[in-house]
Amino acid sequence: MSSLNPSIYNLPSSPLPTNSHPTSTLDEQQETESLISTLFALLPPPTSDADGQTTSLRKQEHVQFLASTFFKLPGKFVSLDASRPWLVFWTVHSLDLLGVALDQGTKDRVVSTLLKFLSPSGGFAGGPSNSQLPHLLPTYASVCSLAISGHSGPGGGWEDLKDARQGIYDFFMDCKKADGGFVVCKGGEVDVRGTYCLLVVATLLDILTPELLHNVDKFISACQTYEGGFACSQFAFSSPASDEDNLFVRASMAEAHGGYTSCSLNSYFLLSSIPLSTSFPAKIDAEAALRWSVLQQGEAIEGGGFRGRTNKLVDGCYSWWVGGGIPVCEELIKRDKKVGSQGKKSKIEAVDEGDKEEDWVDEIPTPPLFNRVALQEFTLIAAQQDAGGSGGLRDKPGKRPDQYHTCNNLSGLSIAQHSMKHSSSVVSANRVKFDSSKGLPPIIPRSADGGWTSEEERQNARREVWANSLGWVEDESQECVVGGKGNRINTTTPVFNILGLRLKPFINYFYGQQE
Amino acid sequence: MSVATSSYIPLAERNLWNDVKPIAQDDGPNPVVPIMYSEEYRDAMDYFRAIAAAEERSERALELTETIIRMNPAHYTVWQYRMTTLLELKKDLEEELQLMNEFAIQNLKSYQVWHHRLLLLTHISPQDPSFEIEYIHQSLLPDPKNYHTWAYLHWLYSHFYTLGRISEKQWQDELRWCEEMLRVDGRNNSAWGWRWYLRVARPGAETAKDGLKDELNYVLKSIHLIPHNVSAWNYLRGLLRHFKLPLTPLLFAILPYTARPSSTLPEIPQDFDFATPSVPLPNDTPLPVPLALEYLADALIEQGSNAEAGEVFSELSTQYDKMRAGYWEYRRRECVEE
Repeated sequence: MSSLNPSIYNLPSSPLPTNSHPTSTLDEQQETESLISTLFALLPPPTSDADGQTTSLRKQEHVQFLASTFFKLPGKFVSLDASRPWLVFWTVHSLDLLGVALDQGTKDRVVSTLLKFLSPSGGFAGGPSNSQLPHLLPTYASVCSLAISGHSGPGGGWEDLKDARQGIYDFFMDCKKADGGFVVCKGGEVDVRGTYCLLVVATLLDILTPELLHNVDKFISACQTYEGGFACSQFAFSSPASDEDNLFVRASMAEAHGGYTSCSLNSYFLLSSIPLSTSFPAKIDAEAALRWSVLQQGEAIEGGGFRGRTNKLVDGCYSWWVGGGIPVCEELIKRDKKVGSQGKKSKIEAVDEGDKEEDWVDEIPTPPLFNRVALQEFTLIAAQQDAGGSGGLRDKPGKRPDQYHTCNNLSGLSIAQHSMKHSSSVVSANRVKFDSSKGLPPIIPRSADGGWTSEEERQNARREVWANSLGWVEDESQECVVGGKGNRINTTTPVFNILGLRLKPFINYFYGQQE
Repeated sequence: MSVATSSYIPLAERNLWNDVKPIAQDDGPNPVVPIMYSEEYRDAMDYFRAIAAAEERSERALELTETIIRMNPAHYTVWQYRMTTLLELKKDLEEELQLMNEFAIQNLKSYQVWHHRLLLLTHISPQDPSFEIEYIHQSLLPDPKNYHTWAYLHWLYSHFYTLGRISEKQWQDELRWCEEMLRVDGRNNSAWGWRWYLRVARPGAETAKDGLKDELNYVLKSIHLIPHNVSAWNYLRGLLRHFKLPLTPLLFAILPYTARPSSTLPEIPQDFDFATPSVPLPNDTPLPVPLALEYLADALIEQGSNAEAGEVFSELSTQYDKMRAGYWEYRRRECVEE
């Protein structure tokens, strides 16, 4: 294990070779290498040094940091006035990871605040719905925050969400474009952040339909770049081809980027859990996505953090965006192989058989696909605000901590500490457990033929989506906490980025399933 | 732009606004993450809510949206209202574009500023978008990796191409501009991404027809100039994968970077006419270059020499790229177990 996850302290601290060719990229890289390696030399390591000094995860400071802005934000935060659900999500999810429980009074305040952001016409806005339009990104942040802080029963927010399902669905359909993209809000931009946020919410609330999903897979697939990572968006050039499914020639709209790769891989995971048709979802190259992702991990001299693009600088927020995508890549590669090994057998048939030979897939141990020790060292040494300061986590030394970087650093730290696998046997067991007689009323599609073609098909989709959403399990034998148990944080769920203990009761509520 | 609270004249005290009844923000009791707004922002938003509720499209509405956007350029609702109002009032959109030029300088990372610009260009719909291309080129100079700007440039060409308004000369000029960006900084991955669009991804790109060999030589020369440049290696692999070409024929062009003992190396064939590494290699080029070893291993798999490929992956895992020890071990197992 350790030889496959070498510590920064056991690796040569070599700078990026200059090749005698200075450019501004090299200048910036050298500056960052110096900044981070200096800090590594200065601070005690996470595991105690000769003098018994250590650098640990300063949980108390981070809780203080989060608490300092949760009930009152100074005026300069006006730039986040249209992102208040994100301020809530970054805080409540970070506290969840740190194992800090909010008192019931505060949870109630979270719920009542978020419900003020719910638009009567469907979807959540970035602030009160009497000020702002609904938007896909705050809709994700609000729904996940309600999963964390709310509950079923009066005042818990989940009943309100239940009543809002059709409205949220209608808002999603309003955002939909013919090429498979979604505008993030009325008149807004189209990119994979919107797709990801929409798919998570539609999955959790049981409001997926064929019309909502039409062409979404092709949109995501077209965002994959030649490097293997994904770009923000794609452009669909009209083509004279008459075949409806190939109406567009598509091109990705920029270089591969960590944030958009996370959104795309997670979207793809959700899509590939839905039995829509044998050609769905359109292919992506998961091996190329994995290669790109692992190449973003920085060298020892930059502390082993992730960068967000080739030849850019490491930044703690990519611990989640890139690191969190790696278990998803692993699962997508496994799915590719399974489909390959079953030849042309359709996915829907494969699902019904629940065949035993699938179980072996869970048994093959894979090596850690990124350096889990180095990423934790980066978080502890380079990403934490200096001890005794404000607390919180940051992009890199010299940058101020903020809620976004705190949440993304901690989410990535969780992925590094805990080995998360998507388990075929758990999914199979979930399928058997699924009670299709339970659930909420089906969504009314926009067009008469936009829904599932039969009740049987709808139930099959619900079962697959629910069973796969709850298929992530931790391989506890592979837990790896640098610096000892005191640094351990809770386990986040890939794809959704909330704790498993939050995901389960929430999704069960909307699918009518028992604990 | 921010005004000291003491000198601020509330909108209620201005004649222009005295017919409007402001609407307060409805946060409910005891909200979490409340922001202590400046008086100016709160006041402007109170009146914005009122005019938005009444769907008022007017000059004063435009002024108000500008005031708010200057304080919070991420306020997507206000942007949306502004755009709709501009269109309904049939305002001069070129004037608005000028205003955006000023905004872009201060808010390079705002999604909304760039999206507003995209909508403006869509509506203005110039016969020749050269002026806008030129503006984007200029704005990339001080910030040559700005993601929004590059995404916008992709859109600009794609959109105006579909309208038939990009001439062959413009495509050629753009490629030259991109090559200049790469000459200045061959490690700028954004510029590599743009090259991919121009040479491979866009409809009508020539690489697929007869330009592929030129393209391969272009990227090989870039590798020879900066052998540790991940951008160039990724571009090379991207080309080979996209055009479903084998890796083996180009192996001679990168073999020196693998630092295999010369006795084990085959002779470069006489008719090999791809760019080969400079002799001597650039200073500060420690060998082997990890991505050259990866290339070698993948070429060996292609040749059916999986065991040898496995050994190369093992070298990467245990010696030359230990940061990714687990990944290279995964690659090793994949090729020896299949």
